[in-house]
Amino acid sequence: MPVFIGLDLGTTGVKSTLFDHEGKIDAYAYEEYDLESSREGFFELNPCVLSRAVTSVLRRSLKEAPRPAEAVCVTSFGETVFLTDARGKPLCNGLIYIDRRGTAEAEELERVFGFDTIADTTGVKPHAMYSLAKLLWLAKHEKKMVERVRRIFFVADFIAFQLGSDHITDYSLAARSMALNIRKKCWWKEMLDAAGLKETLFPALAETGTVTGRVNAAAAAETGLKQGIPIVIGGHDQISNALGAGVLQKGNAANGLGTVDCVTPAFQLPPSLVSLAKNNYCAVPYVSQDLCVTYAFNITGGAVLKWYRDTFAKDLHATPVPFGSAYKALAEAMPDTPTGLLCLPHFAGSGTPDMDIHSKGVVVGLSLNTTRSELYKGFLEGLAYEAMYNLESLRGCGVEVDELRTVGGGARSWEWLQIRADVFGKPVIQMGVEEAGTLGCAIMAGKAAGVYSSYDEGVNAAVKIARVFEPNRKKHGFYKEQYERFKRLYAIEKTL
Amino acid sequence: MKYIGIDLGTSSVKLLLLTAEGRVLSSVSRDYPILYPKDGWTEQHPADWISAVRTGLRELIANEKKSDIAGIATGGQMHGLVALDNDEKVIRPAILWNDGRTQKQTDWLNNEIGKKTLAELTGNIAFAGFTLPKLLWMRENEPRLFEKISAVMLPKDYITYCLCGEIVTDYSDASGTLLLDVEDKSWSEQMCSLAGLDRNKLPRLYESYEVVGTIKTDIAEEFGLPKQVKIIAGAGDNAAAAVGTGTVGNGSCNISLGTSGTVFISSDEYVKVDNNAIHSFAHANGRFHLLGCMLSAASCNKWWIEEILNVQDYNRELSLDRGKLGKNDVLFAPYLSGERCPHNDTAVRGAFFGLSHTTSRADMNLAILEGVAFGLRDALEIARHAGIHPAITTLCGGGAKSSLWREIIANVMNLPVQTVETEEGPAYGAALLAAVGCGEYENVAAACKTVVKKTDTIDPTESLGGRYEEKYHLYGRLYPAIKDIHFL
Repeated sequence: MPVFIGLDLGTTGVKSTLFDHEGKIDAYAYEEYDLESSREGFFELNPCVLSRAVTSVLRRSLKEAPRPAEAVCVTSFGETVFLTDARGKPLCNGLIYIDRRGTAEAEELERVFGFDTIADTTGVKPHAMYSLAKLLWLAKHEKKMVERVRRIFFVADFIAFQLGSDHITDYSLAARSMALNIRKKCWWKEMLDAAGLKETLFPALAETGTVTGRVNAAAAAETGLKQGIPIVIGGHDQISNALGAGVLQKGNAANGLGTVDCVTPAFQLPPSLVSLAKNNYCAVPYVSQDLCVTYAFNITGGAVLKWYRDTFAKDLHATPVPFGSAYKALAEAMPDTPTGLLCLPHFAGSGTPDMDIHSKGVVVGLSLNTTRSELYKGFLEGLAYEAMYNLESLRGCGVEVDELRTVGGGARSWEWLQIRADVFGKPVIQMGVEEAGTLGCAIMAGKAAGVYSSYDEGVNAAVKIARVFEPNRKKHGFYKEQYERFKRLYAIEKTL
Repeated sequence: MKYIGIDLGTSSVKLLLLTAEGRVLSSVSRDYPILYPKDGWTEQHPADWISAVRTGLRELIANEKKSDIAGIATGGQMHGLVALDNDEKVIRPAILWNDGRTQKQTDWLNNEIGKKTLAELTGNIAFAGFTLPKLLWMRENEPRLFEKISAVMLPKDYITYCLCGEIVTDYSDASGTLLLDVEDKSWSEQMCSLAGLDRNKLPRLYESYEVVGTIKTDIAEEFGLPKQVKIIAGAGDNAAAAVGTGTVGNGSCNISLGTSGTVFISSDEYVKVDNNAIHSFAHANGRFHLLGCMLSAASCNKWWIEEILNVQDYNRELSLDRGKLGKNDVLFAPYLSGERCPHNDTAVRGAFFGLSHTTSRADMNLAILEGVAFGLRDALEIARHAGIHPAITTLCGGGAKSSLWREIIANVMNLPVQTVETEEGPAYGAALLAAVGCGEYENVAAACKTVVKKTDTIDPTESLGGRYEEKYHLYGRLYPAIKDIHFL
């Protein structure tokens, strides 16, 4: 039975998971690292720290695995680039998307090209988080270093290159640069020119899931990977996550319930991307050629539940396990009926579509009868309303979501999923998937290795549905009314 | 001589024996049940009050020399409806001040009769808790019982009636019926006809410190009390408590941080209040007072600590860093059971604003204390607007025990805050009224001056007061915002 390895490079750590072709986990390893922040507003990842962590998790997971892996697929967070010499040796740290450098440069590019042209060509709105703005900042402030740059990598293809791959990235990571023409699927020459960067510095482009090389002898010796096995580019982590959740068709959406609550729906590239961009929704090419996805998210996802638990429910023997005992105790004591509370989960500002960094959390509807578990339920409902707000905004931009496939720590809570189904008025699917991101990689690797003839076959074989939560019509009726009030809540919060 | 003060509370009666110098010799309290016949309804059996008073009184004076007991006065829960028939028997259980069945009647009074007319006739507008809406409810829903009414009185007056056989009330308690013309200190004929009630079915009116009768012989014998023990009219609980904290004289102020919160401001003259946002009532000293009432005060804190934090250790939760005062980003709207003053809105509910990941448990705890203080400030502002400017206030009730809360209130109100040495609530004030009635003191003010000792003054500071001034303005925007969300 063939085994594939998924390598997921995040901003806080890296994980390596080995899956068999039915999606069963053979081995798993995780290692955390810290970002570097030498000054306020600076957030960097040292590529050497990343490389060491990758070597470590590969070694550990492969050692634990009963069978060797037949292919390796790498996925990563986006936007960050590593600048190297011709041999791939890093010349500086990579700037993370939350780093504030590049703000003036993004504005400058917007002035040159215009909001609409950038949005419609690249699928993203002009913003400091994207690679081009950062590169332009570096070109201005680190001129000497930038002159020595021979290759520009995104995170996943940097690691792939170190394992033995060619200098190739996929369309989804390239789309996080603000320099990909997502309609023609080529680098946008005018944008590169404006940044003063030659196209030859950038990786070649390929479909997500393409074999970009073979593991070389040095990497094999260092990591324990079999020499010569294919290296597959898994693209942006949200893409592999969506594939791992079984998203294949238009209208399907993956819903990752982690610290962040992120809905990733698949849709056909619309004639204009401007209205999406104006609502802070990007467009990113998906694994299926004719589809793209967008990321609708609330930064205060499970994070607010953790805050609630740590601030008010210390007595419930809080464990570090997400949705462990304290959450369970709170959830079990929740009333069955909707609470009537309205909680605005903007504990770190809001996510899409408003991206309002000044918005704050609000709770209204408290009475002397409100219990701790009821208030907890109020927050679960508030998170569902906020997600509903995104679904509604997406619909306004022509993106319909008819099926939510839920993964991540929060997906373990039956109570939360039922609330979400009741609020959305749509079925919410709990996936029987532990590590959707690396599973998506394993499916790509499996397809690249020829074990699956298509993504459909891979998803059918490896992605399991655990349970479907159907909406309760009566509760949905109540929640629909509450949701109208919830929208007022944000409008009012803004005025305070 | 000695005097007995009785406080007929909502869940228990407290009795207290006082020397002429204001020393408390003994005190007892006895519980009785609240009946909840339907959701939101609250009633009590007057017979339960009487049996609690009986056993309490026996215990109170068991070890005391009874021959020098000279007078008894009762204070207690206001607004409740006690109705007697021709045989002077109780017709139905008393409907209490916090009963919620009369919204329809209250709306009818405020909207159909009109707040303006009500204010002209009585000096106040209708609140669901007041006595008149209860009478209207009874007329509508229990017409046969309503027909049998021969006398109406307030809860504490039923104790007086049982002690001396007189059907009387005092001006302070009568102020909360919506049948009294407060400024004129007489029952309003027009309001009586509105209620469909003969004026002669209402109790005779007295000043709180006036003698209304002498103890019934059989009761005197039963308890071994002298036959000449005088029964004094007494007062509603707020006015009685105000006497006990020395809140008499123009501009004198007391804030009570109990389950509910009150701002009580004494005034020599009747005060007309814009929109009747706070009550303008008769005081127990023969003059007048303003009363702002917030429904949830210390109960907000109790709810937060016991229900949400699920702990019992108040001291630990409230031992907060004083450097945080006035710098809290979290704002709490204390409308956990709706709000009476100044919004008169039973539907509004409590809220938190300004939450973020950096919000700590201490920030939340502090926000509760501050939110309640802002709610009290709302009442004070209305009085200030009506031209009454207290220079200092006393603070009483369970919440006054927290020095942190006292400091917050002093700075939010921008008033020096004092506490009283002896805090025994309305029973203490009632006993003082009895002493005045029996001639021990020339008047209520003289009694207070001699007896009530104030301590622990906390002065507001310029910097903290200034910070809270800003926060208070922000707080003022919360109610309209919340209201806007709930009424689509």
